[in-house]
Amino acid sequence: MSARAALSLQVNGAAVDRDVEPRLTLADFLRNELKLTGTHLGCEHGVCGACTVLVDGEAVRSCLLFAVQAQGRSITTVEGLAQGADLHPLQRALLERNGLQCGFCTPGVLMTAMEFLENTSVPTREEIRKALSGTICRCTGYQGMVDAIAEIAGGDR
Amino acid sequence: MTREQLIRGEGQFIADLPDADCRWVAFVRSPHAHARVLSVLPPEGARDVTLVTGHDLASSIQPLRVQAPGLNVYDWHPMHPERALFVGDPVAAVVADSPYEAEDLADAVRIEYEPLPAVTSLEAAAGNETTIHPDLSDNVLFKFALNEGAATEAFASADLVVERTFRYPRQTAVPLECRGVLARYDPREQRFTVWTSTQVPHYLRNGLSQILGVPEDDIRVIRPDVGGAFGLKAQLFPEEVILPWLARETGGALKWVEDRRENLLASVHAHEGTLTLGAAFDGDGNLRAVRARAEGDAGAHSVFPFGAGLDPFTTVINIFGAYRHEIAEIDATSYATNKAPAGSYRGVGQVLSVFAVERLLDIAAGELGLDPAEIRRRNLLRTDDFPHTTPTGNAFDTGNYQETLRMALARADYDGLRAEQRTAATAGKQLGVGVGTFNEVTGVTLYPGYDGARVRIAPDGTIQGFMSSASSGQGHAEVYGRLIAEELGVSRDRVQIVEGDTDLCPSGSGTYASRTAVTMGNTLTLASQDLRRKLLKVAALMLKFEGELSDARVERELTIADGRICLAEDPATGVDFDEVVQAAYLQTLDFALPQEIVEAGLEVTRYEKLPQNVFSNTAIVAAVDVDTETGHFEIRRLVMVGDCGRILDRETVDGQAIGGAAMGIGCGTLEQLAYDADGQLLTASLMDYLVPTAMEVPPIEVGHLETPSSVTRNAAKGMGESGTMGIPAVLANAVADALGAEVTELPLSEERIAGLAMGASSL
Ligand code: FES
Ligand code: FES
Repeated sequence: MSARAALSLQVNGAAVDRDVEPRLTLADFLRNELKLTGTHLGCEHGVCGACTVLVDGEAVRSCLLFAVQAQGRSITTVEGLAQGADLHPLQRALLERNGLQCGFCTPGVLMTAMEFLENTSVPTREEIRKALSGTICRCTGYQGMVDAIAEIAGGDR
Repeated sequence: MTREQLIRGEGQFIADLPDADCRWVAFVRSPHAHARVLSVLPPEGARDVTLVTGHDLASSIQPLRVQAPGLNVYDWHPMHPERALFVGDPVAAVVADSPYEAEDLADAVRIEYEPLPAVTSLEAAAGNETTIHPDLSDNVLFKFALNEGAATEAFASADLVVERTFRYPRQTAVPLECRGVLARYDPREQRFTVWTSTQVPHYLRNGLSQILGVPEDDIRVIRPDVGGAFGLKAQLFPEEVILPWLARETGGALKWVEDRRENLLASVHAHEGTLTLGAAFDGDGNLRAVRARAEGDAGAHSVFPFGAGLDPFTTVINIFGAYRHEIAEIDATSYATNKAPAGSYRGVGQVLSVFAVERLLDIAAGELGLDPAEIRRRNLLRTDDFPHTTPTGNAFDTGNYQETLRMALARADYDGLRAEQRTAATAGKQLGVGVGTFNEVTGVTLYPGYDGARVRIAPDGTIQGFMSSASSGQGHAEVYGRLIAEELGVSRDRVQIVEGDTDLCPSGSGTYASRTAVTMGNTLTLASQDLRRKLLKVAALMLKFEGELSDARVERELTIADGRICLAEDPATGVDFDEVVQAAYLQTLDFALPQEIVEAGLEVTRYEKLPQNVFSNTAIVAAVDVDTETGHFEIRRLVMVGDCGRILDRETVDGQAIGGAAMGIGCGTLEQLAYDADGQLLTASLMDYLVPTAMEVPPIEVGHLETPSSVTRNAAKGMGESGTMGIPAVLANAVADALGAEVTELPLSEERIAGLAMGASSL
């Protein structure tokens, strides 16, 4: 196949160096090369948000990025949220608030919410719904997710 | 996987399964809606390519003949050797070392087609100028009629007859996870293992066995974690046949993971059809007779196992089910067209019947000068009507439909909304209120409709339930685990649930038609109770009971709770659960357990089919603010009160109610697959086929009533599809109410509403 390109980046805090095909997407790199299969693919055309990861803290659709575009960046995936046995508080809240059923959208929802919570203090439900509007969930009707994010943001105005 | 594993990203969905030794399959799909396949050639200059065609497949499989009452039978080929019947129909498959390479290869395969005229509407199918299946010259895949002519007299003598034709759009379930298959063939054992994202592992094994011509025992179907299904994954797909077949041919493991375009083009569609519905009333607004004629667009195939009648049959058999009437004349037909095959999607058939019935009642109420709530009060079944059998033969055990309606109206402050409507008018903005009441058929006893459960306590005290169902994220394990724990008097965390593996689990129907709580739960209760009695008898022997040990006696004289079995009359005297288990297996007692009283081992398998379907019921009230200029509307209130009998797990029920309601908002307002006249799908991405996001789903207020079922052992009735089937109807009623216009077609797009508003204001 085509020539391979050298790639160095951080993933969940660890340095990673690989040679990859230039056309390999970041999502496939994470899933197939690094076996981080928590990042899911629901559309591969940028609509569903299931593949969302943080690139230098910014929520990004990993299906729309080539792995080589992440050269030198720091990536966080769903696998990087919990600290060993301890779930991230947002993960715990989502569990407790019935914010998932099949769990396929959940990683994308978590990463989207991570960025949102980083940048917004005490959001309204309306703001939370807007922030989630780029991630599709077919199971839950979103209510539990909105509740969980509101809880973590420390206010439900 | 547990919910905690899922939330850590540790789920094992089909795409996540280890695949280091797998080669990858990609499909070449027809770009034509209808064509003869003249030749299939490997890519120019390519050597050693694994390329298979319909001819290769046809030479070593048996075509499947999907059979059920009313179906016209023909040969179904997973990949037809000579013809492509819809855009997306698989025509060839290639194998490569990576998914990227497999797709490159598929793009380069050279196929020569001779395009044929495409049938893309019900009208064209019924006109039968073009025949899709040579065996079916009239393009009719399914036909059913009941009580022909029975309503003629009632209609002729009625004070009021209303009749309209309603249209439901073509939709598809869009589970967030697409389909996928991993297949292995072990030549030594001559055995297939097929991992697939499915709701129906045992049906699949059965279908595969027929097609591949091998015994069922030579096939193991395993369902990994499933990322949503909603009916879409309840059929046997061509890819699920082709991969195992090809794994045997090529002697290795193969994997295919669908992309979204394939999913929208070539999985299954659903819901599309028309219903001409007539209702005859007396002068007081009492319903006397109904007449319903449904026509469904089944697409290219009758799919296994349910067949092409699924939507239209379900539509007519359940027509006006929640309402008193004496006569129903019904018929249903499904036509073949050159579109993707129709299968199931949450709300099967009833999406259309509830839409049409609830619209028609509002239209009739208008003619009679009755409030929409009042016409429902007059006609809804009353508590003393139960048990009740409808003129189409549906039997209902119990229900409190009037109270469900009352609760929904009260919670939504229906009278207050109506008062506001009379007084507060804002230019360009109209408040509309919609009401709907209906029942949902659950735990369907057809096809073949039984479930199996095996409950086992291992010698070390591990408790496992093996189920014939196959969860796709509904939270089954929670409900099952609790049922077993309750019966065996142990804590919930001692119980493990295993689903979706045909080698381990007893055979049964899988998961569809909201059957989990009722039929699967029922069977599980049966098995757990048998096992409990066994434990009680061993305990009775350990407690030195004298005389005959009947089921009734041990149930009466012993209690089982908190890991202990005790005398009912003297709770201080008892034995520990674990001691009983050890005694049963290891015969640790100082006497032998008499075989005639209790067999060794603690394992029970039971199968059961309910004597009848079980119906839950729901009332929904919606208030919407419609912008009459743009056609945009906001949902102000959405109140849904359901009665699913005894609630086994509140969180699961609420999750199903709200999730189903969100899907109903999609079906009612956004979701529509569109084909052009040539049969090209115009909505093959999620930018074109729209599903609700968090912005489109307002807070949904859910209320419950619990009228126990008298048919199920656990007193539960199924639920899970009510929101999907009811909300489109209720939103249509609310929008029609706001505009003073008739709505007979969905979805309620802004264009459609703006058009209706214009039409209404020019009247
Ligand atoms: S998979 Fe990336 S947005 Fe859907
Ligand atoms: S939980 Fe299934 S898609 Fe969100």
